[in-house]
Amino acid sequence: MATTGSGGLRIESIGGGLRLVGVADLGTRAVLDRALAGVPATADLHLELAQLAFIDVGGVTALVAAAGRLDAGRRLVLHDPPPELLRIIDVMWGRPRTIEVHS
Amino acid sequence: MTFAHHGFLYRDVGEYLAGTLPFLTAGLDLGRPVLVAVPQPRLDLLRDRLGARAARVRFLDMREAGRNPHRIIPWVLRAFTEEHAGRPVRIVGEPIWPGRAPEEIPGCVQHEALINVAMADTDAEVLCPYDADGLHPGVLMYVRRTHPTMLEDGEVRTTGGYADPLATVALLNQPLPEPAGPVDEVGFGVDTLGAARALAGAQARAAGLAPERVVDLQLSVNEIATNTVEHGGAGGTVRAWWDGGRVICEVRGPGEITDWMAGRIRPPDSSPRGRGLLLANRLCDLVQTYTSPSSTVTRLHIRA
Repeated sequence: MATTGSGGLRIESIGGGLRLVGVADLGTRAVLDRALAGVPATADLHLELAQLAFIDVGGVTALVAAAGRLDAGRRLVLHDPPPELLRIIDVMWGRPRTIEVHS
Repeated sequence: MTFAHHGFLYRDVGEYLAGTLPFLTAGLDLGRPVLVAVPQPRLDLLRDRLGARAARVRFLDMREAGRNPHRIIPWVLRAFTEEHAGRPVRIVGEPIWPGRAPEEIPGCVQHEALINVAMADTDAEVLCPYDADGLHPGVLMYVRRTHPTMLEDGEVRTTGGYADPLATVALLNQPLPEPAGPVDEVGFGVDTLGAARALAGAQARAAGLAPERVVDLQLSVNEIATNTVEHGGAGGTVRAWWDGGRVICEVRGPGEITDWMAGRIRPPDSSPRGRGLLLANRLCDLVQTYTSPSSTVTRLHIRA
């Protein structure tokens, strides 16, 4: 879908969601925001994160906001998130019910 | 809604109990949520003396919960008032104790001053005991300056000496001493924040920090560097060193901090911003700041 240079963030469409490859920080915030704005609200959103090397607080905030935009009963499902993602969610939001983690 | 912030000087255990116990039991009699955030061994002392009533009180060891003084407002005090939103609460909070490291004291005094701003919209009554025999006169001189009222002889009194909180904060906004030993340094910009994270990670791993704490330091450094780029409008530098007990990462960049509430108030859930310093304050063992019109320096400490 979108790519930046080295140290950037590449986002690929996969069945039922997105695969994030690279780094989600201030330098790639716009790439992440654009991708999340385009996902349908009517289904669970799956994110494949095994190749996400880092995500910052702003990036996690964008994920939590995306989960909040899903229709009632739908969830954001995080697959193999990096450790700092869980740390940020646990500290700032205490693991919302709309977010499911598969490690 | 009324907020109250009383200072209280005590000289021994007897005076400590004479001031804190009636304040706590009166709060319990009124049915209020009550928090005791004081350092050990006085935490256990109060728990013992409250007896069966201790079951209705929240206890936090301030040596842990308040080890970084800038952590106390968002993650101890406001966390408690927000948990009990709409109800008046009582809190005994002792942020400064004998033996607290000198480098932590300016931030503690700034914290005490900023409570008056950050908690003004809450219905909390906070009592802050100070060990008048054990603390340095240079610390005790700030008690009346940072507390609008004092508890003396069992009575709350307006004693005078209270000063504008932001003037007190400015007074304690002083340049930080240069590190004594060798430091590693790297520059960063919006597209090279990874360099700041890499330096923090390398220093943390070399110091033998647990993997979770390596992550905490990298996250914190990344957020402060991100703030530098977003608010300062340009990149900056990160320096990292080991002081024998802690890893310290310093982020330096353009721009002055003018909002001292930053990192102390949780933004609404809908806000996309305003969580970076809040998180660093939560994760780090100490956060030090010196800000001037030309630049801001933030030091993040994680102990081994």
